[in-house]
Amino acid sequence: MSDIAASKVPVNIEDEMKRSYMDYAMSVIIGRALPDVRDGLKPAHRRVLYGMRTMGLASNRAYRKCAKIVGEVMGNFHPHGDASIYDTLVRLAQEFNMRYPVVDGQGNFGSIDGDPPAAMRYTESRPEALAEAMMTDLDKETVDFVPNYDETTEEPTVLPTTFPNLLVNGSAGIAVGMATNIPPHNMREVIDGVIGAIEQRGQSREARLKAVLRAVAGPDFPTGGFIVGRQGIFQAYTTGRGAITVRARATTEESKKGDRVSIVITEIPYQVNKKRLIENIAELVREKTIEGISDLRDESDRDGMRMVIELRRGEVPDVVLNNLYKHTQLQTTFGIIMLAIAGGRPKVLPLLEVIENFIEFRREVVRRRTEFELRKAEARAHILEGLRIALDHLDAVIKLIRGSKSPVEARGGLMTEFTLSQLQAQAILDMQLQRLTGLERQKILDELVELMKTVERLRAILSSDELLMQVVLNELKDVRSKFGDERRTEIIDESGEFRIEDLIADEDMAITVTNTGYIKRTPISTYRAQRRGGKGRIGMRTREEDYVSHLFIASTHAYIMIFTDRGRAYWLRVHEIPDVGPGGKGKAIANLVQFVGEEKIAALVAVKEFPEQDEQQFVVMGTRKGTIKKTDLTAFSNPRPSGIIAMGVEEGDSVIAVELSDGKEQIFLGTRDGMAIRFDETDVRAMGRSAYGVRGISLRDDDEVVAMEVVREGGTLLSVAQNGYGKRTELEEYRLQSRGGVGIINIQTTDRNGKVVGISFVQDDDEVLLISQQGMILRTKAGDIRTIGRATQGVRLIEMEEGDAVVAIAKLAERDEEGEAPDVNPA
Amino acid sequence: MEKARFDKMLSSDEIKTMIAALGTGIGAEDFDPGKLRYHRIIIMTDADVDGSHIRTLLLTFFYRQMRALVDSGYVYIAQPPLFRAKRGRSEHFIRDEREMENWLIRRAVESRVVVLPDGREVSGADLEKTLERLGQFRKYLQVVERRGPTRDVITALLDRGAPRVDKSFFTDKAQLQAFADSLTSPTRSASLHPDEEHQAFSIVIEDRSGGYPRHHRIDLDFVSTSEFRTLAASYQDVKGVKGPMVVKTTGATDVEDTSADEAPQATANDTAIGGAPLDAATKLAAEPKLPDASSLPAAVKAVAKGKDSEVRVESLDDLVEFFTAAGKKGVTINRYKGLGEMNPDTLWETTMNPQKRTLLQVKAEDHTEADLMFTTLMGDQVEPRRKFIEDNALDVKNLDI
Repeated sequence: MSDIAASKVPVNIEDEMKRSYMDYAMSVIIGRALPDVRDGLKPAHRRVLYGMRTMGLASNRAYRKCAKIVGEVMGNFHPHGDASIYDTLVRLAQEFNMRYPVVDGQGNFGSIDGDPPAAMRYTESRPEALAEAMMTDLDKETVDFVPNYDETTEEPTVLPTTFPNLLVNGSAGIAVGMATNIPPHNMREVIDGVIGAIEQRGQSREARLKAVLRAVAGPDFPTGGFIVGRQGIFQAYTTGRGAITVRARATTEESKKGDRVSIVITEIPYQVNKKRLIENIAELVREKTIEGISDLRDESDRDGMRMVIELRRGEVPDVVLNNLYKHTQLQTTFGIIMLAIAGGRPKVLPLLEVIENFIEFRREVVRRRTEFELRKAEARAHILEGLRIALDHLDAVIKLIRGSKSPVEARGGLMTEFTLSQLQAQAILDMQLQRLTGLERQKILDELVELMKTVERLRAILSSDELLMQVVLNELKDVRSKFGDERRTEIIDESGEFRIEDLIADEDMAITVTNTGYIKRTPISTYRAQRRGGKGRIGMRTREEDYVSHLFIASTHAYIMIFTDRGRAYWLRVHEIPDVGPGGKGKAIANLVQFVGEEKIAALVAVKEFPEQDEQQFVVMGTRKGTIKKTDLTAFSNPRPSGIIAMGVEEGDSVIAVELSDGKEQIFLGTRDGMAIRFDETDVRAMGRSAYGVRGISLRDDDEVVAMEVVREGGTLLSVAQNGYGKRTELEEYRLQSRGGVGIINIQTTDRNGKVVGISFVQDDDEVLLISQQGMILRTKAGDIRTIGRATQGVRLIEMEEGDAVVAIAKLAERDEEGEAPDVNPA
Repeated sequence: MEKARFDKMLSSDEIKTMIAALGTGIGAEDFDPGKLRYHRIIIMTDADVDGSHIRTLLLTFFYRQMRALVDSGYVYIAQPPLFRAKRGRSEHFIRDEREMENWLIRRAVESRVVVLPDGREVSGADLEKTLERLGQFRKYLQVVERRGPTRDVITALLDRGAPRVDKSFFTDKAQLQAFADSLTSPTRSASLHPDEEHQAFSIVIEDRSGGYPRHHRIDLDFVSTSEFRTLAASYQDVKGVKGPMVVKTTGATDVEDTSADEAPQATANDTAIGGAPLDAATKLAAEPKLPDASSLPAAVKAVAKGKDSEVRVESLDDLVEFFTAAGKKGVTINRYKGLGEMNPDTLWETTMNPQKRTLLQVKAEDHTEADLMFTTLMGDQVEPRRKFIEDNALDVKNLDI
């Protein structure tokens, strides 16, 4: 096959994959995406900083064009794209990204709204003083250098930083198969932690850890905000991994009129894009996921951030805010993974290890610097020593030089005559004549004395670990006082993980369901109580030929169990039902729960929570044909989206009512033609979910059951007939019978009254709602309705328009708390 | 990613062009290898690690979407050179690091003789072979070094444990203690710990040099790794060569080498008269590198001196470094990172000319294995990938930072 290639080597695909992939993966892990534990920099960052230094840029000199810097870095150290180098440079300058920026940018360097920086030909930059603190002593052989990529120059493998940059500025990066995410910290706290660890060195790990944890309260983001809870911080610090919750700083402001409240956001969580956050909130408001917001404005300007969320009248700011925390980036989770390159390999490091790695590094840097300075001082002293000898024998030296033919001869002569080294002799020959003046001579002697002191000091440092660490400590303290500042992010205790229910105001809702299956909820407070006989008010705008078929009162926190006429049960949380205001139409139930086949809603039951085992609760179900069934509520504790069977229902029959009971109550059944029966609940034994039940009342001819109530002694039964008439009758008037009989007369179903549409068990201070076919709703107090005898006609409750008819009645839920009772203003 | 959705993959322009050029169509129904228009599909990517990455992506594409092409052996990988060694006008292209090293040594060996401590002289092919073995030994040493212990610890262990480091070495407590003591230095402490699993002892070393407190353990498990055993075997080849040696450079065959750049350096010391003011001169003299305190290996400096003379090298490392440095003299070496660095005709000469080029023909010998590899490396499960990387991290040869 030499026609294809000079040599053709077969290679197995998986070997080639493995080799190529591992080359790539390890290069990314070691040399690209992860920071070094010592200086906290990735190679790209390090090269940018070092490149700026080699260009002679400094915090007190002029800015240079970023394009120039990028070119320098790319040409000398970083053989990658210019865009990625510029991005790196920009990030180092961004105040919302770096807790302590190391690059001082001039021009548009982007914003927290995600705006890109200006092109690099426009912007300029120079190092911050802090960057210089990362590179002091770089020329004193403190760190190792390696050849750059084309071996034309050298670059440092690490910067001799004087502060723990990995913790101070944090780091984030995704390598292959692993990622790092280290939050920024407060300089002062971290250095105090380092100092604490140094002071406790030699002590147990617990002692050192304690010293560090005492000093470092937690991450400190450049964007401020709150960290909620300390558990995540502790976890991350002790294991290297943990998650913390970060929240925006929000305050509330009242409008001038005092009728509206606004939430004002002045700080947002780290690395959240403000513009996108606002768009996201707006989107959620549009989708009605978050309710109660009437307006959203970004009033940020050059003085700082200010996001105003205006609330609708009467909204509780805390509820809306909690909702925003739950659904938007006003609250984020920062997953800490303290992964860094230590000793040439990636490692997840707990806080103490990060700090101790830094301490070791500092010790090494200071030791190497001291050695360098000592060497330099000794070399200088060596020369000065020679000069001093020459000065002591000035005339002889001059004579010798004058007598020599060549510099080499003069040097040789000096070396033998005065036992000088070659360097010393050369220095003497290079000496300027002005050095021979008295003043200059004294200078040399003084310098020598000074040098000897320095040499002594440096030697002492090198021979004592104690002194060496003292130097490290003092330098740390210098950096702390120079660059330390106040913490920006506040750490607060968590108020416990909130459940979705906490986000929803606990409020009673009137839930209406129309005949065609539309459901909505409306706060009870929307309906004003009216006197009996009032005209009612529009409660729901129904489509033509549609009418409200169910009305139901439940708290937003409750679960609603929806029982269908076919005996299946579905689940819905009240807050999941759309709140559309009194005039709105609501949403089709079919869109909220998945009905099986042709089913209609028969009853809705609100359940706050499932009972403990000792306090049993039952679901009592009644059908149109008089069957009744009781099932333990716990049998319904596992909701499924597709619903579960609640009761076996025979063909032609349907479930009409479902109620909760405690097992010791009584059951009341009322029929369309005005019959009723009351019997002990114990007459009905509890059965499984799919059972068919037992006979509750025997019906005559075409009669059917219209109401089933769970009742107990004390209270009245309100019966309402089609034409708006009704009456209350004491429960005692219905004598207790045994289950399955035909019952007794409840109300006369005359032409004036029409058939019975609903019966409700009420107390005097209960309020009831009556609802008509055309959507009229009357809210009235039960006590306002006369209590009269059984088997009577009743009184007018609501004025019916021509062709309209009452279709349902509902009782308002009793309130436990005082003051929260719905106000009963006469209309 | 492997399971990248079809339409997403097809949205890449490069992939689209490629599919169009191949003519086979794509997808379970449309793919027809019979319509293939080219039967040598050569993947040519940059020589750096990003090139490696793209290569893995392309291989994944071919294997997952056009396996028939792989099975028929139509897929090849081009081998662009990694280095260019330029000397005067002549250029030499070198494929990888290993070849590079051998080439440098061959150049340097030509005019040199090494005198071993026992007086034997080695030169020519023998020397080349010895140096190659030494190079190999150094490579294995690097691999073992990645397991933790530093070079001097490993060589000490090899020396001490000769001919073989086996269990008896770790059961003899006194001997082991003596060895541990010999390892202890200001920046390193070594202590003995019982190794219950093997009923022996292990040495735990705490190394504080370089700013990290690092811990590693030398025990029976360590010396039983295949890396260490390979190293120990290789050590047998080179252990004869040790201690101070003298490299004699005979004749002046490398005339050009000892040219230009050394001359001014040699005379620098003599010409400083009167010129520089004192302070600058002393500064120069006081600059870090005092004669004895140099951190540069003596060998490299010796080469820099450039005089044909006898050079004393203290260790094996110095010897190899001396020869690679000598080989580099007068040669400009470029490491190619991208194909774009080459002129079109160079690219033709080195990589594309059918008369000269080397191609790797991609074959899938075992589909089960290959399948597993692709799933691990390119699948959507992160955990197996991370584990694979960890397991193979020490085998990586080509690190590019």
